[in-house]
Amino acid sequence: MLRLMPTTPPVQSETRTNGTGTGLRQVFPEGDIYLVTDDADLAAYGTEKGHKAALLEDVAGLPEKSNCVVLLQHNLVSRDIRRKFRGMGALVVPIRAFEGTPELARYTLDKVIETDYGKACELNRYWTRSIERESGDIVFDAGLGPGAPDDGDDRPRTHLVCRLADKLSANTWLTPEITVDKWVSVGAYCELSITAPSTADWTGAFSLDGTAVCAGVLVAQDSRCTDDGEARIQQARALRDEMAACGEPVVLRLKEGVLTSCTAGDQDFTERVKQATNPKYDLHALELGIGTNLELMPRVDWRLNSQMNEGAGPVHIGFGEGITGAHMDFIVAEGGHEFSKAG
Amino acid sequence: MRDLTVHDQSWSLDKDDRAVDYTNPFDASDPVTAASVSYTYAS
Repeated sequence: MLRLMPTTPPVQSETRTNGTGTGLRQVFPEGDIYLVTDDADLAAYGTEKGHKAALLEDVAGLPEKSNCVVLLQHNLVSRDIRRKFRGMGALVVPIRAFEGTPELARYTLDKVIETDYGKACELNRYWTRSIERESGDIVFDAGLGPGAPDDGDDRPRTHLVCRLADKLSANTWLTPEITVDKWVSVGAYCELSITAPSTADWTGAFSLDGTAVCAGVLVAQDSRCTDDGEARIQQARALRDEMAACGEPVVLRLKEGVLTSCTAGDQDFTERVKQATNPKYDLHALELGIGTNLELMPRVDWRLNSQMNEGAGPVHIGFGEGITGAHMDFIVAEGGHEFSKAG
Repeated sequence: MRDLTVHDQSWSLDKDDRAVDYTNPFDASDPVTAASVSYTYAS
């Protein structure tokens, strides 16, 4: 049985997609689109790329019912910021929650503009239907997609078995358009995300076994971050930078939903990931993220800490909540998937 | 067949600027339950 919570548009048929136009015009089919940001240089960059731009402090001067892409380079989301967009439609890009440098902000804006929101939503609908209908496990394997490794290649390869509960919740956005008074995360377009129910029930939604070979690593911070969390997030950012600099894919091994090792080349990062994501959680996987912004993959720089990288690979695994410790996403960029036979 | 509930992580505001229509339990005391993996929540 499939239940859609009230604000979710109904699942469409397999062959029909919503949204005409490309990119942001799929999200906002009519009217002017404003890139609204808390950084003047980012606003200027958006204008250079041919878009209307405005500063966050000037939102009150925008026309009613404006369509806004809210690019938060310096601020985490807050109630005050959200209140500024009453009466408008907002696609929210929380740049600062990941990394708020000028380079990351420009890169993230580029990927927001390049994303095919129609295709991403089509994949979200595919996954929603498939997870409901298929009883077996989801298997992500390097040999199932384009560019499958040769049999003689003895490097680690992705083979990740994802067992899902019979009753489960998932987060995703199913059709591209944002209407007035809606505040929608860009992340919701780019993935179907399943999270652990609680610290007392890590495997109530899913359990993971196998190997994930990851091209990218992200670190994110929630706006409710604690002081201890802030310290761990700084550790995680340094750790992420080291992983990105070592030039090797990050290899995760998991057993029954727990990370047993995290290595890149000859470096073992397991203990540091545990500390950075809150050691109390003992490396239990918090999130199974199925990426659906796959059209973007050829244009991704996996070294960067941008939310737009998160949904560009077939699957990512998340540890930590971003509140008491860092949320770290490890993104697989190889292979495809199949459903195993149930039973 | 699975019993699947889909949340869309979108928000609307009521007249008092409180978030309504959201479906993630972001006020939960357990931070794992409250985790907002899209990073666009604020209480």
